[in-house]
Amino acid sequence: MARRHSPSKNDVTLPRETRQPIVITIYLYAHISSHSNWKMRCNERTRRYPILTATVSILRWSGSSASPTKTNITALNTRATTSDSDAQTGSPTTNPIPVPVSGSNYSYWITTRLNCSVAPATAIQNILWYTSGSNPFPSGVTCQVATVPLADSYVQATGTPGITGTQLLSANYSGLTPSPPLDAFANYTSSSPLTVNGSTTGTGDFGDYVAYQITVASTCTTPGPTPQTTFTFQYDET
Amino acid sequence: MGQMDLQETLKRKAVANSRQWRAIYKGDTSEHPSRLYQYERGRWNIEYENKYPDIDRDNLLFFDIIDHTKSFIVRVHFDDARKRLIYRRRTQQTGNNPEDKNVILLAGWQMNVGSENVQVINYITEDNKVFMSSGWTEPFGPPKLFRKGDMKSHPEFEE
Repeated sequence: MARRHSPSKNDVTLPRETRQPIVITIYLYAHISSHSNWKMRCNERTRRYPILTATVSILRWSGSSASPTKTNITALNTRATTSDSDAQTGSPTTNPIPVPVSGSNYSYWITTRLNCSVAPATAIQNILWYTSGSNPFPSGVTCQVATVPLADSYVQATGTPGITGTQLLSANYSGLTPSPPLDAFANYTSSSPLTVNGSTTGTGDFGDYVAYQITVASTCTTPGPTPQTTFTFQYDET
Repeated sequence: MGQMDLQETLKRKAVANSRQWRAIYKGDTSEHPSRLYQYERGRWNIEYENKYPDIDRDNLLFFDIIDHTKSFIVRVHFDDARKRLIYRRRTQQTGNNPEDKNVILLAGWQMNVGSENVQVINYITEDNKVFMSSGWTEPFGPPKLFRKGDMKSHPEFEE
């Protein structure tokens, strides 16, 4: 036989004065809930923000012009060598640039370009490129840089593997601006950057190419791996 | 960069990335001006982003850069009808990892005074330091003084 529910003290409608604490309890609960939501919103904001802004990567182009390989350059991990196939994984002992007896040897030129995988809210424009302004390489080692307008397409780096790359000149890479390329550290800093034409409102590769090359002169007396250096792309998003 | 430093950097950048703009318009009453946030919630509580062209730039009272608590870091006053809004999200990128991207927000105004083109831009760094510039003499962004290494070489900027 089921036990019959009998009214208890709790089931009795409480007088108004005793209901007051219940109201307060509900208020506190609402307050805690609101605080929790606030925290959640903060987490959502920090989590979702990169989704809503453009995602831009620096890609190093190598391989044939007809079917170039575009390597995502992770931080400080691309290397200038005397080969076109060491975009990311080249080691200091693989195709280094020999110090010549006279004149200069060159790395294979390195072509980089920006790529947008998540479109900007409106547009990306005002692209600039610059160095720290201080050449960290040993004496006799320099870096020349120029842009390549989109009207002139990407050209694969050439040369003699393990010996020298072909010099980065307009005759070998059409459209270089300026021509001949200028010393990157001496000419392009944050206050005097290299202007990279182009913009984008969507996804894909955008902006002119930035091509640079390391030159090793016979005056270099410090062979071996050089210190690393940092090149910066800057752009404005609206 | 050590693992702890990297975590700290990423955490700091996440907080910096939570900043957004807020446009406050000249409303019918000064007590209740209408506002437009960069990030808002619409139907079904789904967040969406208002874009730069969505800002009614002819009807601005203030333009704020705000943090995640909605406190403003910088407020640009539009107390002259000739002032036109300048807003950009500037990225300085050395690699493709999150820690390789340094974001600077630009907020300011431009105004033609007679034949003269006048503009003021606030550069807001990731740690919410604000540099103000005319924008003509230094058009490429703030000096890199907000970086630790640079500050060492500029004792007057030591904290």
